[in-house]
Amino acid sequence: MMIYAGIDIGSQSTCAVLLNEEKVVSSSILPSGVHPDRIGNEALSQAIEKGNCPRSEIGFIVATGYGRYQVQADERVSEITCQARGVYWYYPEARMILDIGGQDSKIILLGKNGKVIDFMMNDKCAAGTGRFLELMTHVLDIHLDDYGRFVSQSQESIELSNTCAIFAESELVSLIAQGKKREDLARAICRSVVKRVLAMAEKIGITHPLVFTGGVAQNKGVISILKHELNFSPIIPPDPLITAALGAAIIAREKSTLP
Amino acid sequence: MIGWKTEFVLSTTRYLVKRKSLFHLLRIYEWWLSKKFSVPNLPQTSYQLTIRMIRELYSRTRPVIWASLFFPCEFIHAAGAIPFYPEIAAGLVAALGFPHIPLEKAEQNWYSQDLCSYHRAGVGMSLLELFPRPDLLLATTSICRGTTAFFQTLADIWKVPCYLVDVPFESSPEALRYVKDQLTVIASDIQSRFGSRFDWEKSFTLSNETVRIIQQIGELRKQRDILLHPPTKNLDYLPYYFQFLGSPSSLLFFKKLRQHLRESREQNTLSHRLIWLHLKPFYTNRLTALLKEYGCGVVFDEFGSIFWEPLDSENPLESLAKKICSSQNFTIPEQRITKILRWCKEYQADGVIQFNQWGCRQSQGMNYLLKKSLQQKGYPLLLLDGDHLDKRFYSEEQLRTRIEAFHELMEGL
Repeated sequence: MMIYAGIDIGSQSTCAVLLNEEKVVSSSILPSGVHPDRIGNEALSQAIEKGNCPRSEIGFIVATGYGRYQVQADERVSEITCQARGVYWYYPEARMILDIGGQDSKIILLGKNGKVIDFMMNDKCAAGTGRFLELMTHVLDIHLDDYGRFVSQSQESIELSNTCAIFAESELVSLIAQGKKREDLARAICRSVVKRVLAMAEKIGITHPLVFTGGVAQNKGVISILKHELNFSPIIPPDPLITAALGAAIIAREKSTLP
Repeated sequence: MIGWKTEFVLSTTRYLVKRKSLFHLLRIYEWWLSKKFSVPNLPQTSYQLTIRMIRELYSRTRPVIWASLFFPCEFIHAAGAIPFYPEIAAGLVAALGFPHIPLEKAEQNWYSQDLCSYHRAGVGMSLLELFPRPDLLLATTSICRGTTAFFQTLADIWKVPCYLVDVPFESSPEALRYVKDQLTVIASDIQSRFGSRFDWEKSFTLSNETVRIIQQIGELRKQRDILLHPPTKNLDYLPYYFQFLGSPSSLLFFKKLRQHLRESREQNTLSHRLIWLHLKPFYTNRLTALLKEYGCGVVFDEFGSIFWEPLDSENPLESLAKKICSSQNFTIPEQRITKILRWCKEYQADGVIQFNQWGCRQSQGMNYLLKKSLQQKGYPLLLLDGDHLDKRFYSEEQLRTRIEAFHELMEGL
């Protein structure tokens, strides 16, 4: 049976998904390094190994993500289209995707057929991305996984006034010096990410059902703030990191059948 | 900080641009070019006209009058002066690859990075004394309110008089009279200051004739097998739409462009026809290459549009006042968007791109209305954020992803 592969090389994670005519065969996730070509191939090899399928059966490869032009593939498609296709596979009813990755965040508006109607990407600032959350862990001396627990224990609402990642860092240092609790500061950080991304979503118009993807969709602190700000629960795929790679694999399957 | 090598180059250049007689020597080069290229093609024509413009501006055989983009050039040509548009020249500075030098110079003098880079570069080039010295400054308040402070700063730097034509937002008989009265004062001052005799007939005839050819070029661009290469190329011709309009140079250039288009029919038609709003980055970048790669061509550009009625030499100042007042259409959402929708239909566009200039309120102020109106009519709109001159705001990967996704959206992938 023919296999189709999608590789998503992001700034933080590289994912590969293998798909046959019916279902997802296997997937793999690796941290992205400085050699996207090597990591892309490694992710693909791991997925092949996990799926126990010979490489010769791979009929078509589509690459996506920031490293899509560095890896060997039959075609390259933007992560916006791939993300849309991957989410539609799981949730055909979805109308909006909120994707927060390592170095950017995106809002994608979907049509009834899963096609992209409109999209927005963040500007060139790290605020509102996974990188921002990661940077702030160093200031608070916590781990990324701690955000969820800290946010749930927060008692005081603190607003980070700066939208710039660097200025937010210095503001945080000053708040620590004032004796503010880490729990409240962790909540403020998550809130600033959510606020920034929702401001972007509001430009297009927040639409239900909304699916939350990307590495940050695994961050319990951000999820809880997002639910609070949206006043409804976003849909979070079982593995929100691989949806773009899945979309790439779906497109690979479609492309391979084209004359 | 500017290194000693750059400082040396700047000092030498500053010394040279002040030597008027040196630029007279360019005549020899122009003569040689005219002999070598007896029938110049389009790029060669443009090159020769640019050389001539540089000679005229720096040899200063006639008064040099600087103007803001929407001050009608026909007025300056009629006065027998040499026009210079610092905002257009700032684009040229970016294309030549050294915009960071004037931008940094302006930033060192309280010009924030959040302000329009066309103005920052204009101020920087003036502080560095690299632009040709003006004898008079003329500006309108239409479209861009930042122009007011920009031109007042230029007046202070160069120590020359500056006239700001206040343009009412809405067009009305009173507004026309108000603008005409201001032009009358300026014309009278120019007459006494430089001893000029205004030749309206010549300037207006050339302008009207050029506009007729620009309109023919527009008709040619509606045909699916005629395309300007590379995409966004027409915006490189901005001086001919503004600075040279009303002179033989503009007429000659557009005749060449019309001929060029008539002779270069495409074998394959475009995948996607785009309308381009506002301007584009003028520094070396991958924008046009990316558009080309995805089969996108620009079939109409907002800044190449003719927004005024033919000029009437019987009533010159009233006619120019009308032209100035019409330029406000760029800032009135209802009028601007109506025109954009009309272009989309007439040029059978598949989508629209606006490259938002960092800090520009005119282009971004109506994005919500623009997006809504275009979406209602089924035209996808891509809003690209960046800077037209300041490369520090440029990220190729960000640009690629946006253009690629926009292309996929138009393809219905």
